[in-house]
This record gives sequence, C-alpha cells and structure tokens, in this order.
Amino acid sequence: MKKILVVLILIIFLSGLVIYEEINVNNSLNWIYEESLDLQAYTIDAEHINTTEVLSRVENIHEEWKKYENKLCFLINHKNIQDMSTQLTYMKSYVSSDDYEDFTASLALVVHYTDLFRHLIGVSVQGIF
Amino acid sequence: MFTIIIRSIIIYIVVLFLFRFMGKRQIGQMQPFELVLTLIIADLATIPMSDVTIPVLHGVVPLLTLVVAHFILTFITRKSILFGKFVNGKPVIVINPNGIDFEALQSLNLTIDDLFEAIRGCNYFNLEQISYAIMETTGKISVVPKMEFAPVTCGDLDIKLEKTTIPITIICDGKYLDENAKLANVSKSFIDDILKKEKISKIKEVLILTIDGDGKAYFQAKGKNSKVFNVKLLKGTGV
Repeated sequence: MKKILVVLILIIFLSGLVIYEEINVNNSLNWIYEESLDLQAYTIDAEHINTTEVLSRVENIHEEWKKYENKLCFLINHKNIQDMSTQLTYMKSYVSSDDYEDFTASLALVVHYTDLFRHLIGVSVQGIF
Repeated sequence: MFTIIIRSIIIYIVVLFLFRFMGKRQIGQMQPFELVLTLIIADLATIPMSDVTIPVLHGVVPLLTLVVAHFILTFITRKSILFGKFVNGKPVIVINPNGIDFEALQSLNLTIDDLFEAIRGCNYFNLEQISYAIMETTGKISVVPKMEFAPVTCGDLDIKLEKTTIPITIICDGKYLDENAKLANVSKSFIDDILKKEKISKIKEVLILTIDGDGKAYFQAKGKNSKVFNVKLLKGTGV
C-alpha cells in the first residue's frame, strides 16, 4: 500500500513537471520568438532603421528573457541559456554602435535558439527519436 | 565545486531511495529487467553529477520514471504468469536423471564448461552425484542431488532437536534496542543484571549482546574479548 502511494505521488510529480514545463516554457519562449521574428522583419524591410526603437525592443526582449531565465535553468541546459544571454547582450552593443550586420547575425541566432528550445521542450516524434 | 558537491548529494539520495524502494532482491539475485535497470541507473546518475551545465532534473526525472516503470512492470509480472515468463524467462532443467540435456544447454547458449563451472560453484564435482540441475531465470544453477549423495540431516539420523531459535540483538554498538528486547521478551532490568554480572556500568561500553531462545548469550564489551554464557529466561522468552 505504501509503495503504491509512493508511485502515485511520483506519477503526479512527473505529470506536474511536464505540464509546468509545457505552460511556462512555451509562454516565455513564444513571446520572445515572436518579438525576435518581428524585429528581424523590421530590420530587413526598413529602409532607415530607427536605432532608438530597435534598442528599446532589444531591451524589452532582454528584460523578458531575464524574467524567464531563472525558471528555464531547471529545464534547459545551462550552456544553451548562457549562449542565448550572450547573444542578447551582443545585440544591445551592436545596436548602440550601429553595427547592423553583426546585429542581424545575433538576432538570427536568438530566433534560432528560441525555436530550438521550443522543439526540445515540446513533445514531438523527432524529439523522442 | 560547491555546486558539484550538492548535485552529487542530491543524486546519491535519489539513487539510494530508488534501490531502497525496489527492494533487496535488486542487490542480490537479479532478474534480467532488474539488471538492465541497475546498469541504466548507474549511467544516468553520473551524468548531472559532474556536468554543472546539465540541470539536476535531467538526471532525477529519468531515475524517478524508471522507478515508476519498474513498479508497474513488477506489478504486472506478479499478476500475470504469462507476462512474467515473457519478461523473465523460465527455469530450464539442464541435467535430468538421464544426463545432460544438450538441447536445453544450446537454447541457453551455455557450453558444457559453463555448466561444470556452475555445478562446482554448488559444491558438486561429479555429475554422477546430480539428479537434477536447473538453470534459474537469474542465471544461477540450482542442484538437486541424488538421494545417496544428499547431505545427511538430523531427521535421517532420527536425532531429536529442540525448537530452532534465532539470536536477537539486544545491545548493538552501545545502543539498547528496545524493539528487539520486546521481541525477545526481556526487560531492561534483566539486561542491567547481566551487565552488573559482567562488571559493566554503562550500556555504551557494550559492543554486542545477543540472546537466543535457549538462553545462550553472546556478549562482548568494547575493547575486550567476547564471552558466551547462559542466562535464565522466563517462559515465553525468545523467538
């Protein structure tokens, strides 16, 4: 009876963890992914880039990332999180120094990382195999 | 470094809980699926221990999942004989009164040398002495000897013996085991009398004291030699 209880508790814990991961990670990463894509589209299409606006949007993304970073540490490899934080920091300094070529490269990496995390965390046949 | 220490302790506690939960058989004779589980656990546990970039949950969650899977598997194995046979296999008779069953050996992928080695491990050195040899699902061989070569028992010699009792540990490493004393139906004052006779003032000075149902006590104080003596037990004392 005791063992059955322990197993039930474990099943509930594991299920709770899966649900927590799905909700939290998807919520945080979806927003950052969408914002990054928007920013990417803006920097590619715009004839004249408004540095202040780009910097403000990058800072928004960075602030949002910092909020979720502590939670994501439990679920995602720390090295991947580090890489993402590094690229966001680079983006800010590239924008400040009007280096839009390197900024575009970093932004592409940020889009790639968020998409990668979503695929890693999400349930998919490719992920399982 | 501190992070690695804490991670190691967490993983160690989880693995300890795992083996404790799965039972003593895990450490003793293992069924095939238990052996697989043990090997996997060893590998899984070390991954997050030393690599600080991997979240601890990435090590703990697979371990806990295996506990649940193991429980479900053993539960089904207990309830369904067919499933149990499928997962564990079944015991195979490799030697019968007609001799070695070579087909059975081949089905188990065993050679004659392997068979002899296993039989010698059971302290039988001559095939002539063996009536049956059974290869268990754990890979161990059980031997049923021929009657004329079987060890003699007290029943064979018609020797009458008193009831078998087991010695119960009353004091272990300076600690008085209250539960065991209740099992043996001996009181604290009874033990105090024994210690007084042995000129021991404190229980802390005793390394071990066991008493069996026949009143035989094994006693050793710390830093001294062991002694065996008889004690007068009340009726109903002992196991």
